[in-house]
Amino acid sequence: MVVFTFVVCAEPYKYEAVDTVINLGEAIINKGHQILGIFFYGSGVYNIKGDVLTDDSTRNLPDRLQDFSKKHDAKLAACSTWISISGIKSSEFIEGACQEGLGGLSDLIARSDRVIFFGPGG
Amino acid sequence: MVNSIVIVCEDSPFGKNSAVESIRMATGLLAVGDIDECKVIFKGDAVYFLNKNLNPEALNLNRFSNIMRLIELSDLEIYVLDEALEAADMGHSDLMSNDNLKIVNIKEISNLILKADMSFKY
Repeated sequence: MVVFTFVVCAEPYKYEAVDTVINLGEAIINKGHQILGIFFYGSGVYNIKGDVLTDDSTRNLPDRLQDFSKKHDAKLAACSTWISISGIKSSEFIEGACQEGLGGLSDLIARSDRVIFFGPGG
Repeated sequence: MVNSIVIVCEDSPFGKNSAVESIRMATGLLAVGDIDECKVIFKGDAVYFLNKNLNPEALNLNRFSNIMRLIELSDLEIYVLDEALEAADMGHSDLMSNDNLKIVNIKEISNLILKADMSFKY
């Protein structure tokens, strides 16, 4: 079994990083491997903000992310510095998400066999 | 397990915060101590960030004092691509003074990336 961590630096909707994270994560788990956690950095922290309004033709990414985390027991952590900059309140986080410093990222990386980085885009 | 990281930065220090965040993430990960090696490669327009005469205030931006201090205080190794320096019409004497800053060619950069457990472009 290979242990994976994902780092997401791209915001949702403008980029499809978190879509790929969820789809790739499901495929990895189906092959018998583990997703230890997903760390959100930079503008990627907007991925853990819930309460988005979507119409029928727009996927609800916070819900998908929350379901993925719950189903597979994958940690969702966002950089505390970037959470502060973004102004997102912890009450707005999707269920299961938390904010952590770079120590949280360091811990995830050190305990993983593979780390996949979804860059800031652009 | 992942124990060595290379971060590649190639964007201008102005218009995008990649250079600052590459340094912040690298020094943060080193400071936590879970990971033994974290190096940063500057190529492309990112090399302007290391110019000792860089003057962000001319663009009404804040000086990069805090991040420069992090470089000074940490043991972070920074590698600069020689071709990028040449393209920017810069030489060794134009770079900020730091014992851990090295000018390297593309082959050396390739080796750094190959030897690392993980590399990503920020």
